[in-house]
Amino acid sequence: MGTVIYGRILQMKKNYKTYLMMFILPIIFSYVFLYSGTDNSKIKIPVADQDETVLTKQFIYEMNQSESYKMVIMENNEVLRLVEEGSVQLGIILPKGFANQVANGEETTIQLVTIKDTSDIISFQSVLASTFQKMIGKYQITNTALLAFQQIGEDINMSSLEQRFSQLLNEKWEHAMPMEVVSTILDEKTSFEYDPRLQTPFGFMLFFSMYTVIYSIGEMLNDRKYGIWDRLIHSPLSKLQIYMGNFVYSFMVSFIQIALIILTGRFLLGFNFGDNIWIVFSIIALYIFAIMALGMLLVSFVKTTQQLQAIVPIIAVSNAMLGGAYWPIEIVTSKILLTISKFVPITYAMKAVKDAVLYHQGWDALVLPGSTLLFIGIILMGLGMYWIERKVA
Amino acid sequence: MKILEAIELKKIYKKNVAVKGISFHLNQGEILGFLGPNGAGKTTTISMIASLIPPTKGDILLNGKTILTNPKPLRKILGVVPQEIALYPELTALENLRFFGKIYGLKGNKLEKRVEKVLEIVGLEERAKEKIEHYSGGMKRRINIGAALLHQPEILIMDEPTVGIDPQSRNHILDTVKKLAENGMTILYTSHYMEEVEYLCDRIYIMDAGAIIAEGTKNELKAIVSKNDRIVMKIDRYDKEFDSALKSIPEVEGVTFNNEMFTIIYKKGSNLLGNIFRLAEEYQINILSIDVKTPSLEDVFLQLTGRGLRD
Ligand SMILES: Nc1ncnc2c1ncn2[C@@H]1O[C@H](COP(=O)(O)OP(=O)(O)OP(=O)(O)O)[C@@H](O)[C@H]1O
Ligand SMILES: [Mg+2]
Repeated sequence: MGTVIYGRILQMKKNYKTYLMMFILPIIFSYVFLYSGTDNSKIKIPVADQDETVLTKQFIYEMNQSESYKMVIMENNEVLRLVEEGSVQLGIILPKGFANQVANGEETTIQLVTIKDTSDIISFQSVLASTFQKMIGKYQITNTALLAFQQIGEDINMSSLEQRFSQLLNEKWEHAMPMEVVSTILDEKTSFEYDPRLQTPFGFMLFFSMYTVIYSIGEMLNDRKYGIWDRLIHSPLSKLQIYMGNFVYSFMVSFIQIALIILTGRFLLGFNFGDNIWIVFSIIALYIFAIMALGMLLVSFVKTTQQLQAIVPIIAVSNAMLGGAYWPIEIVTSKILLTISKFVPITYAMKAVKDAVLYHQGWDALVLPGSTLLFIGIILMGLGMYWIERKVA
Repeated sequence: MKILEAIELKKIYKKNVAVKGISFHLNQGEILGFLGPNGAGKTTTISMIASLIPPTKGDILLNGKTILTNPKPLRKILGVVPQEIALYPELTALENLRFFGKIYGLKGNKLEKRVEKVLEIVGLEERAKEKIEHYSGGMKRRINIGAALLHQPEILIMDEPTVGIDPQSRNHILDTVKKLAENGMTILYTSHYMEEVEYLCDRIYIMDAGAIIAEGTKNELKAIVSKNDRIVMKIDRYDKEFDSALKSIPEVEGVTFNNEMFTIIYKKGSNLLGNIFRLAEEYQINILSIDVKTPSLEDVFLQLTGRGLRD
């Protein structure tokens, strides 16, 4: 097994430039899409604050803390105009009396301005709702504290205290209860969270790595072409050793490629890949296995690496589209496409990583998608091996 | 002593029968020749011995034990020189040899020593650090052989190791084979070059169309044709009907046409020359030269099949 890997690494050294590109380009592309266009990739939301109270300012401030949206304050008719001409998908209006209603515990409304009913709205609404709840929490704490001071009867300047208090709360809040926002979202089963800061790099790395995994497995075809395969077979090495060598090599290269993307994002660009990066790595490992098996199946169909190179882009692109690597699978409504997506490994990798990172499900996120990936892998691997061996005889 | 034995070995592909149930054996320490034209089934036979493809029928025994169920004992002591160059083109000769040495479990100092030794055997010490893709055809062939020698195999199978190379490289390879045999290696050598087999081999099997059509030592085989003589004749133009007319002469055993030359095998003592001249005149063909020779191994093939080895 070691010898097969040794041979591959020797070849790799000869083509080190190709491999260098293979490792570096995906890193760049995974993140570059995020930074192109708007600053920090945040979606701009025009907001008209008709109330202009501490509370509404607070609310806008809180909304800006979300990773996906940037609030831009403007006049009422400005907001309407931007939405109408379609330069933005949606805007919000905080009506007069907003703060009062909140203070009196009455029902409040935030006016959402939009002309299309897109899935973006659902995700925005969920952020809106959770931010609001978070803010109400703070507001009530402030009020309770102020009430306490009042009752004690201290002689203090109430309005300056209130300001100072909420300011302090803003600073401390993040450190004290960082999980608050997400837990509210979890309860809303109907909505999903779209976070381009996870979707884009993760989708792209899963997509890129399909090429790496399948091409590296496809090196076996070159061995066959050059007659090396026969030399390996009639040597004392067992078939298992030869195959394992190829699998381990393919796994190593692909895993390093993805790990580099993740680690760059995590440590150089400050991306959030969840509380536990090992969960993400485990998902990746299972995903690579499934794709490797797919690669074996393809290798059993084709005769040359050229044929493989002709097929892989088609497979990779269609997989990425179906499996939600380019866009969130949640926005797909076609029954047929959704059914097909059930057979695509990327679907499960995307699901697992979202559950783990966005919904903080921990290792639980891995159970169902992980075992599905394993299952897909074993089936495809079995078929691939069977056909390859049959072709030889 | 028989070291390797094939019994009724048969290989059927979907459409054609590549090997038609042949039996042969390999004696300890000999150079055995497999002589046959393109498509005779030489490579197929070798592939079955090397357990690259399973036989449709028959058995292969190493020291009396079948290798079909357990090929490992043979694999350890077998070296195979494939017909096509089987090396990593982007790697240097040194790297290739190291890689193939490792396959056989060689490592460290021992591996380096063997690699050095093999480079010396194939005479490429000086060029070892060059990439295979930059080698000449002959040099590739030599490393191709070297890659099978690293683990000092007891049995070496060589599949047409001299195809398509210059005379110098060819001579070098033939001498290498001789030396290896002198050092005790058992060698199965396949070729469609008469002279090579005649020069190297102790015993010879002649294969054609998936069957062994003759076997024996050089002299035994030549005895098959010793009752015959051979005429080699150069003419100014080829005529199909003249060819058929020659074949229809009762005493003629075989006729081939190659490089403007007719080779005619016929019964010793029969006076053929008169017949030939008469036919030449009849078909208006000019004979440029004519020669009567004693038969070679090539003529054995010609007589057995009525065809030349390399038509
Ligand atoms: N994989 C295959 N599928 C079908 N037929 C095959 C296959 N391999 C070989 N054959 C056929 O088997 C016959 C014997 O081929 P083989 O390669 O053993 O001949 P050979 O004696 O080695 O010829 P050469 O001197 O050209 O190398 C040929 O007719 C060939 O077409
Ligand atoms: Mg052959």
